[in-house]
Order: sequence, then structure tokens, then C-alpha cells
Amino acid sequence: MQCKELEIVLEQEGLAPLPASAREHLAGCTACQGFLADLSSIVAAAKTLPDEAHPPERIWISLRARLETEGVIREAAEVAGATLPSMGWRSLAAWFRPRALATASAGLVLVVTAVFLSRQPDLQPSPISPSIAQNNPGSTVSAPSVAPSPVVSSDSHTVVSDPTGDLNRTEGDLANFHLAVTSPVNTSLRQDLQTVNEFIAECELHLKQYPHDDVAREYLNSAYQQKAELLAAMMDSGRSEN
Amino acid sequence: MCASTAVTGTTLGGMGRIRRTRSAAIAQLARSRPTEPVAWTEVEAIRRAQAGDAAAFEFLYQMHGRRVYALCLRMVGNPADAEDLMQEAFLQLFRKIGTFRGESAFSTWLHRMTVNVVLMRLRKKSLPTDSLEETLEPDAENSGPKRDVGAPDLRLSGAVDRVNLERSIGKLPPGYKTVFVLHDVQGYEHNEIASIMGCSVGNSKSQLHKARTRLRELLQEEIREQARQERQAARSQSDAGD
Amino acid sequence: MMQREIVERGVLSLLGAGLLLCAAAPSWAGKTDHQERHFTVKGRPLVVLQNIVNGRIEVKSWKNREVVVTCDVASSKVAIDIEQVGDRIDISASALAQSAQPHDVEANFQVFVPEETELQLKTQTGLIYVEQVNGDMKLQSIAGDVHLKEVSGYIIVKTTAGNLVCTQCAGKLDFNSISGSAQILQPALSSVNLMTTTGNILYDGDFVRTGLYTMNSGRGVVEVHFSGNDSFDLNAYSLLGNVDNQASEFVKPDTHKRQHASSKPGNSLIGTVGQGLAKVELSSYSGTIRILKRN
Repeated sequence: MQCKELEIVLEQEGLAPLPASAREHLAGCTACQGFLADLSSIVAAAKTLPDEAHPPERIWISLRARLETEGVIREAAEVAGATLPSMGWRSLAAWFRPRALATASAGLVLVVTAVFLSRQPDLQPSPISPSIAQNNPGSTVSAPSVAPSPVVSSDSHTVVSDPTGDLNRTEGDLANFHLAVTSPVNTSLRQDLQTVNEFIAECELHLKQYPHDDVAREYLNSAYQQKAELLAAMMDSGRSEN
Repeated sequence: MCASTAVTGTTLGGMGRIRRTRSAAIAQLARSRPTEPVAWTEVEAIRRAQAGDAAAFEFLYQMHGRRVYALCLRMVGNPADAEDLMQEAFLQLFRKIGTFRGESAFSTWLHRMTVNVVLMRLRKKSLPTDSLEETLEPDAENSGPKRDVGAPDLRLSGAVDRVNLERSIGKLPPGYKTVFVLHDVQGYEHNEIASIMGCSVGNSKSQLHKARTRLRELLQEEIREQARQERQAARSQSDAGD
Repeated sequence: MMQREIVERGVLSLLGAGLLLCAAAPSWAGKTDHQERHFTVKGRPLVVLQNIVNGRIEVKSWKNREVVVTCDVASSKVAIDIEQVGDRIDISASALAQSAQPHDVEANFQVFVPEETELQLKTQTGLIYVEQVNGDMKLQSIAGDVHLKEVSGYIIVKTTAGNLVCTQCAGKLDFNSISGSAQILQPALSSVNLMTTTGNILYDGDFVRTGLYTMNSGRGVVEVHFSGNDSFDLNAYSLLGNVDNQASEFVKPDTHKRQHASSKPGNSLIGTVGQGLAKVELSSYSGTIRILKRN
């Protein structure tokens, strides 16, 4: 066996026990002995290198936020073990967590409707999912203590509820809710609501003419998401002032 | 200036307000880590994750994240890029987890995505040396490190310095680096590496051998460079003494 | 266990607060109140500050392993809560009286933190100012501006009307606003994602190799200044507005992608600066996109 042939054997077999012909060559070739010894040292050293490294915690936090936004993680916004007032207080965590449009609008509609109805005792309560009602066994009003799961079909891209109609109804309710309260914050929120409504109207008009314009649709979706978050901010602001 | 008061459990402010609800919300806002260890198997966690369970996603992330991060870190050499790649790999994995049927080991599937993400990123950077295609499908005649067969070699003198080895691994072309890290550092077998990298077992063995040979050359260069620096330092010291 | 701790803490809070109230309430009525709290921390602390009332939040770093919170409160109609659990410090300011005037419900915070600190700050109308802090941050404001100077980490800024000014920041930046504008000056950011419906965007700085930069404005202007050392692929598109390329000699057009893009309505510019190592995507619904080279 020649040195080149030994190299082919090493390439195919690695550092496993070598065949007799290879061992015979090694016995008489110091260069190949050195080569094999060096490879063995490298492999031995590589085995001592750590095969794990600790990633920063923010990676999981960021990853989880993305997964929730995309609806891959599907669970109700949690408030661990808290006894909550019947006003339908939303978890502080929900404010920080970004949400897909469907999740934001559907959840917000249900919560705001419950808040609105809790202040209108002569109205009939709106239907709320059984899981939410179970969270408040002692409550006299059918208000959710946690923001409910989004109502989505098994196809994750289909939303059962109509987000635009729900958002408009929520907006109307909030307008009444805010009438008695005037502050710089609310003024700013109302102005921004008007701004985003105008933009939404502009996008919708454009899409009627160009229904396949993906860019316009993306802007429209972003605007809806901003509107949902704005309405949530208005609700928070109104609650803190009332 | 108010004197410092006990830092836990006290409240500043005009009114004594019960903070139970806020404390519960705070607990929820705490860095996301399961408060109690879950006794799941990987199979159980995958099933739950396919149903959208956040805790299951976190379980899988904690189970595999450190190895994935270590792989990314070795491949790109800097934490910022490694974090990006790790997040991207897990994002892709979790988005597609519904399609996982158990034909291969979950970790193999994850590592395959990780390697794809890393190699795509490196491909985009268009490294000037050693094209990716060449390192994955070598031409037997012209590729790979050359060894002067029969010529005297600079021995690595037994133990290989871990710092030098890490540095040399960083200098390997992407294809060699991936196979070397997966096999010699992380302990994957050739059939698993072939599945991860989408190549044949023979190709994996060939790449590994070439990676080890190249590392030997790089380490020899390190030794020569260190010897040169020592000689220079000794020379300048003796010059200064004169 | 957690529930019991919460209950115990709550009871202690109640007793402590009751004593404090009896002892100190008369001195707070109708006066500006200055409070200061010191917290020793071991690792990388997390500071969560929710300023539900109006007021400014200022966070700066220092070398001490301590978080110091100072607060100036306009009146006794504001409740301040500060609590430490391990390395997490929670601070909140809320209005007590429903009918309080805006100037009565103001609380300004100044916080000193170790250089490596994570922040979650939320206010309504006051300025959020952060300087020389390294760590992940979530900063939220309704109408207040956010000013960041020499911060680094994963920075998330959300406003409805507040503007962002980010000077010499590093790491990753996400900004989302309805009418707020963003100015990113001298950055060292590897990932930028800016979205505003009617505000403007100005990016004046370098593009890190392999970085990803996405800037979208519904109606506002998106303006980017780059230098001769930058290297990025550019994709600029305005549906109803213009793309104003004032650096045409440096932006090499990509003819292949241009043919594909020309089938869409609107104005676009697709090209490469240098070797195209970073990726820059600029988009506007009806505003102008402007590309300039710095001298």
C-alpha cells in the first residue's frame, strides 16, 4: 500500500480500526504515522469542545412573540390565578404582545362588548364562549376575565368573524364610552383614530379598483391591526380615567 | 428625600391598595420560563406543539436550543448572527411542525433546517473562497486540501490547543465546517449528517476527512506563526539587551 | 405557593401602606412630592415602568449595581407603586381621582440603571428618554416622543402619535406608529423595521453587512442617506407616490428584477449599491421615497 492509498482508506473508514494492509504501511512510514497521529489529536480535541452554548433569553421571548403573532401558538392570553374585577380587565401582558389582526380584532370585540354591556344592565348579554364563562363561576355578569381565544377555523388563514364589521361596532361603542372624558391623551387618540380610518378608507377604495394589489392589501391589514391596538389603547385610557 | 424602605412588599403612595391583581399580572410578565418542570417526552411535546401549546414549544426549544445555538455560533463566528440564525431556524421549524410525521428523528429535522438556514445565509454573503457547491460535491482531482505525500510534516506534538482549534474551525469553508462540527463536536453519525445535509454518506465521510486534513494544515500554520513570533520577540529582546 | 406569596405580600402592603398613610398623608396634600428608592441588583435587571398618568421617563446608565428610581409627583392624586422581586423592579404611577386635572396627575421619573439592563416603559404623553443602556427594550407611548441615545439591544418602540429619534443605537430596532415619525441617525443596527401610517422616516447612517432594513410609510416620506462604504440590495416601491433617486450614479439598477416589478402599478427602484451585502426594502403607499448619498 502507498501513502495515497492509505489516505483513501482514511477517507472512507475514518479513524476506525484500519485493515491489515494499512497497518503494515503505517509501520514503515513515519510521515503517515505523523499524519494519523495529528488527525487523532484533532478529533480528540474536538470531542472536548462544548457541543452546547447558552443562547440569550431574549431569543425565546422574541421567538414566542413571533409565533403568537403568526398564530402558530394558539392559546388564550393568560392571567395566572388572579381574581379580576368584573369590568373585563385585560392582562397587562396582552398590551405588550403583538397580535395578528384576527386575534386582535376578535378578542377585542368580545372584551369591549362585555365591558359595554356590563355598563348597560338593560341589554341582553352577548354570547360568550363557555370556557370564558367558566373562568368566572361566581360572577353575576357574563363578562370575561381573560381575553378569549380567537375564533378561527381549522384552516388558520380563515377567520370566522368579520373583523372589519366588528371593529366598526367596537369603535362606535368606544366613541360613546369616551364622550364624557376629554383629555390630551384622548384627543390624541381620537385624532389618530380619524387618521387611520381615513387611511383604511383610502386603501379600500384603491383595492376596489385593483383587488389583486398585494402591497395595498398589506397596508390595509397593517392599518387594521393598528386600529385594533388603538382601540385597545382607548379602552385602557378610558378605564384608567374612569 | 425619602429614606430607603424595605424593597419588597411595601407600597409608596397615598393609599393602601391591594396589589394582588397586579402581582399576578407581574408574575405573568416575568421572563417566560415554565414555572414548573414538565415531565413530557419529546413525542408528547411535539404532539402538543402541533396543537399550538406554548409550553410545548418552549419545552422543545429548551431541549434543543443549546445545541442549535452552538452549531450556529461555530458556523458564523459571531453571536449576533448566530442568534438571528437560531431564531430563524426555530421559526421555520415551528411553522412546519404540523407536517412532522416522525419519519426522521426530530433533532435531525431541526438540524437540517438549521444547516439550511445557515448555508443560505452564507451563500448570500458570497464568501470569496471555496464555493459551497464545490465543498458539498467535490471534484476528486482538484478539490480538497493537498497533502504532500511522503514529505516531512510539522507534527502537532500530541495535544491540540482548544483555542487554536476553535480559531481554525472558524477558518474552514462552510461545507467542511458543518460536517466537522456535526460529526466530531456534536457526535452525529454519517447517516444522520447525510440526512441533515442532503448528501450521500460517502460524501459526508469525504467532507469530514478533508475538513480534518485542512484543520491540520491550519493548526500547523498556527504553530509556525507562533514560533515565528517567539523568535521575533527573542530577537528584539536580545537587541534591546545589547 | 405563588398565590400564598401574593396574598402575604398584599397583606403586608396593606398594613404598611395604612401606617404610612396615617403618618404621612397630611404632608402630601397639595404639594409636589419627591421620592427616591434604591434597589441592589445582582444580574441583568429588568425595569418595568408604567406611567399611566402624564409625565416624563428618563433612564440613564451608571457603573453601580443598583437601580435608583426618583419620582416627582405633582399632587397627592397620584399613586406610585414600586416593587422589587429579585432583579425585576416594577414601577407604576396611576391617577387616584377620577376628576383630576391633567396637570395634577403628572409623575416624572428619573431612573439610573446598570449598563446592562432590560427595560419595559410605558407612558401616555410624556417623553421617554433612554441613554447608554444595553439590553432589550419595549417602549410604548401614546402621544409622547421617544428619544434614544447610544442604546443597544433589541429595541421595540410603539407609539400612536409619538415620534422616535434614535441616535447612535445598535442592535435591532422595531418601530410602529400611526402618525409618529422616525429619525434614525448614525446607527449601527443590523435589523431595522419601521412602520408608520402617516409619519415620515429618515434613516441617516450605515447599513451593516448582512443586515435587513425594512421601512414602510403609508403617506409619509421615506428618506434614506447612505455612504460610499455601504453595500446593499435596494428595493424601493411607492404605490401612488414617487421614488426619487438622487444617487443614481451609485445605485446600479437590476434589470432582471425591474422587468418583473414593472408589471405592478406604482413606481419602483430596484438596484444594488456596492456588493449588495445588506438588504434594504423601502415602501410607501402614497408618499415619496428618496434615496441620497452622504458626502
